[in-house]
Amino acid sequence: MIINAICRALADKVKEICPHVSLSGGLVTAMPGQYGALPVATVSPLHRDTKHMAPDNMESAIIWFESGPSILKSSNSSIDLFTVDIRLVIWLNTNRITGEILNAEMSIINAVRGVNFDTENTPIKAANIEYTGEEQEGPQVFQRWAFDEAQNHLTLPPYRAAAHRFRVSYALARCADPVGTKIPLC
Amino acid sequence: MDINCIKNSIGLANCACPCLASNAPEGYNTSPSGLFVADLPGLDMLAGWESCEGPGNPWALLNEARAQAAIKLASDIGVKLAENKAVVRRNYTGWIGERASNRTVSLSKAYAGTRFELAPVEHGIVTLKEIGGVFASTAAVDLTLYDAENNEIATATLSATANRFSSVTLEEPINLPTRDRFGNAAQYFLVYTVADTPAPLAIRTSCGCGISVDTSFRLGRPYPQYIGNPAAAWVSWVMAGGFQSDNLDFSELSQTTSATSETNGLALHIVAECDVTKAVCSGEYDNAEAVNRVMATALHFQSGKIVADKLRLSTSPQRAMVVNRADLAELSAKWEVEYYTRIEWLGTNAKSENGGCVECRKTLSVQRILA
Repeated sequence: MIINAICRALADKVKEICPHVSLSGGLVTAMPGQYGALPVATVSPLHRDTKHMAPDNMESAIIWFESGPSILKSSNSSIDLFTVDIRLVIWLNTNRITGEILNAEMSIINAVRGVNFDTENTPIKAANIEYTGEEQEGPQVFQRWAFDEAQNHLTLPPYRAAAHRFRVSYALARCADPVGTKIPLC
Repeated sequence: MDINCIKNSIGLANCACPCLASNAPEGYNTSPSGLFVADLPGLDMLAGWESCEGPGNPWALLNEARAQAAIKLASDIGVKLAENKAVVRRNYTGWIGERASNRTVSLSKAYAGTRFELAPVEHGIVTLKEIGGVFASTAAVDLTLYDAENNEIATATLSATANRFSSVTLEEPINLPTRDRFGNAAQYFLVYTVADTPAPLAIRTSCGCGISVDTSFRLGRPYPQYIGNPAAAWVSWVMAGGFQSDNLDFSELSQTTSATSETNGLALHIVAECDVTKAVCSGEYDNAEAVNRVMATALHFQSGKIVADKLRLSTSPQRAMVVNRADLAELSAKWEVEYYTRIEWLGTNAKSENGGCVECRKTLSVQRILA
């Protein structure tokens, strides 16, 4: 839940300041398919829609986040400190992007680095994001997913796939504001 | 082929989806049959983009698939009808009219030229592509084509070389309706002004050599059907002859029952062919007609199959393909079966007998032969 909220905030920030990102997904869920798992995520800005994070030549850029487990680093009477490794996956369609492709990628990385979490209305009381590097690019970016690289050429020009790693350190309050109920939306 | 009648029997999408309608083809959400390509299960996944601009967009995909499916359907119907029916009228491409003569025609009126009537073949298409002629002197001959209601259809200038056959290709081939607006055989008049034109040579529609059918122009004369000699197949489609007149009132002239066997120096290059697609869709789609409805359903399935295959086999990724490729393969195979089931039905039930191109095969029973 917390990692999901962190990834939604990251996705929202990317969507806000990177107009070339047409589909900005939060933390993906592995959805079983006939050939294996496919990534599915809610998308920015409202996260009401769930979409397959599948490369699509009608999109200019797609991003989503994958994560490992969070690890408790320390705690005191009011706060627990965790770290979690986040993987940012970027799929770029250079046919639909103007300008230097590295700028397109770097602006996404910078957006992630520059996110400010809502520390007033959520239990997250502090957070720090550290960029820990890029993985080898190419088909292995999608290794976990049942995409058909041989058929679809998802990582060959005009497309580019990259994965970047971040370490997010965050402080989680041991208390939370009370939560009520509301009439469900029709 | 009347592809538009077939193609427009179904729409592309019944909403402003697959994505924004800003670049949707005209009439994308119009469907007289009520069927839309994007309504097929599996193809609704085409929705979900913020923009549909650019090449390879889903509108282009749907539109191309429907157009290709219409062409395939027309072709398959032709094959099926040819299997099930007997051809009664041979297609013809070529000239009507001789290329030379050793005498001239003496004209006494202000206008002259060639008059021709087309056999009222409902499923026929006659296209005029070129006009030829032989005149006694070298000159530019200005020609005008009228219908029997004095409507000017086309003009052309023939650069005639003295005593030699010359021709002019029309800027655009003209599809000539085989029936007038009253449903009768359509008549046309190809006219020049006598005073401005050298004397025409006395070429005839046919020398009669090797042709055992009547080629004369006589209103009411029945058109012979299947003609064994391909060079004479035009006789099944056209009656032509010469005329002269002091005015350009063809409504009156078209009542004259005969014309001269000489065409006043002119020859016509035509393509006359049967369009069997008219047996399944002619003019406007009619949802009350079972043949039309089955045709639209066949087109629906074939369009869906083409979309599914294009998605499945494209190296340019689309979400529906990446996510759904196994289902698309199964759906494609299923839709192909549905399509051919309907083609079979259409091959048997299409209303082709009254079209003037095909008829039911005549079968001889043993009993009849013995009798």
